[in-house]
Amino acid sequence: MSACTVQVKGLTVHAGGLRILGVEELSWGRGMHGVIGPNGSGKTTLLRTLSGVIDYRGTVEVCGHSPKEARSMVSYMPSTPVVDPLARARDVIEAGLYGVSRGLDIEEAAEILGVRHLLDRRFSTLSGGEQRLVCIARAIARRPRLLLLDEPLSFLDLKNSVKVLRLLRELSSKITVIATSHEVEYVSVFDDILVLRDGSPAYIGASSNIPRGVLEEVYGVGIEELNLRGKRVFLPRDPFKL
Amino acid sequence: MKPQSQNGIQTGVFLLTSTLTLLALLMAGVSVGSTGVSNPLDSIRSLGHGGDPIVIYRLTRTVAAALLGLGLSVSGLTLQYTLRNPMADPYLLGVSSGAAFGVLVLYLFSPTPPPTLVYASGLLWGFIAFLIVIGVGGFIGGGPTSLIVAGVSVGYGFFGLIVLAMAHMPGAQRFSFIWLFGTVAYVTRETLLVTAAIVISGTAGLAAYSQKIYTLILGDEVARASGVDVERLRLVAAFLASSIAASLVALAGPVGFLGLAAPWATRLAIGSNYRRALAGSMILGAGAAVASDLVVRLMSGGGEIPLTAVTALFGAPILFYLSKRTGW
Repeated sequence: MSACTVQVKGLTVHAGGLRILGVEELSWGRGMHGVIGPNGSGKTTLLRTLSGVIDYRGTVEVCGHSPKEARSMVSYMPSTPVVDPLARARDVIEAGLYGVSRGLDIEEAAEILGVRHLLDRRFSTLSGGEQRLVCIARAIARRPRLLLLDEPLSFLDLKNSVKVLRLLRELSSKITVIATSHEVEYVSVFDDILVLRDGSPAYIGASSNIPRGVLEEVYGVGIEELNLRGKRVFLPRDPFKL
Repeated sequence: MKPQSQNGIQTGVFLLTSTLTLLALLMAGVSVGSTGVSNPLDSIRSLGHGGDPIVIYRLTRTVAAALLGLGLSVSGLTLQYTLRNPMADPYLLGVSSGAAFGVLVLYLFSPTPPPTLVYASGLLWGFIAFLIVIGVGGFIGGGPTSLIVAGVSVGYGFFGLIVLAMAHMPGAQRFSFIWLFGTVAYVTRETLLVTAAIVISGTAGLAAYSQKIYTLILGDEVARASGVDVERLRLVAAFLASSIAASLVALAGPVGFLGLAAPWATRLAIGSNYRRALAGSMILGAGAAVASDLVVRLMSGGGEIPLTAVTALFGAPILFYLSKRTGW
């Protein structure tokens, strides 16, 4: 596994005649990158573009290829899993290995996410958090060079969120990880972030340099900034004291 | 024991048990009939010497039943994957009724339509029915339930047309009635060969796509992101599945439940790996159809009764149980 560079130039995505995403320039290599923004800001559209499942205008290069040609090197996890109701967790991971020659063992991938004991359960009977862990296991089992995760932490409890964040941090020393989040709390876990508002970047750069005002403006609520052992952490201001 | 090997053992045991059961049923198929029971070894031995006509008849009928169950299971399983809907089945999706209409309508014009035309018309109308169901299903909502509602409605529509066609076919009603609910009693060696060719080549085609079809359980978006041309695959797989179902209608009329129950039972027992589920459903479906035909033979006495009478009587409670177990 090696890192993969994502290069975007003059990208626009349209749906139903409307421009839903426009990113002039973006270049991300190895590391952990976050796409942050409120609901409907274009985060998922960017991930779908990079994974090669939707059409776009402009130049997009993934691992030196077009997104469609790069699909064997990429794993994409959508925010909402759509899985056949009769499929087991094991089937989900196994089926996800399509087009990959040297993927991880199903057991090995499940073990990393702590879901090995769930492999023979039907996916539809698992809790939301368990389903999320199985989907992440499926994504990493492809041993991708670019890992695209849409809201990987939603439905996860604190323990599992920490587990997934540690895993992504570890992976990001070798590959390129891009994850979305609609929550400001997660800004500091990423190396770089792209903040989207109405389909356009409000900030692109190191997460440590983001001005608090940008987040307040994008989310339209007051945001507190804390300094925890030298790291800037953002939290929504007490919602009852607007 | 590692779960992987446990999973492998489970699959092995399932495939072995169902294969042995199928073999026993096939032996019974050539030995049991309304004229009595013979030693299966004698029956097989007689085939070497030109063959006892009764044994040849039973053999043709048994092979036809096995092919019917095998093909319907392949068709049902594939439709379940391509539409990501566990209720998908050629009968419930109106494909069988469409194909039956395509076959029966020819008898309005000629008492003995050419076999090629029978197959062509069955295949064509089976696929037309499927496309109408997909269209109507999408129009009324697009969800799994809409699709089944569309399938049942379109099936009823074609059923109405079939009844109208039959009303204009004096003298042929009794045969039509039995055929309309499925029977392998009137199968000829020629139709058996044509259908076998379509079912086998269709199944081989689907097996070649098995890895791609497997990804469909993950939803279109993930399948596409893995490198699968989802729209094309769905069209090819649905076309092959409908062709298999339609050729079986041309052989033995529309038969319900087999295409639904055998794939479900297989997937619950050994999981949803498409290639393995395909092998398992084929064996289980073939066994269920041969067993159903044996029951038909024992129940019918001198006359004939249609297969759906048996598959529905046994299938309904099985489906009930499976539905309860899976929460569907």
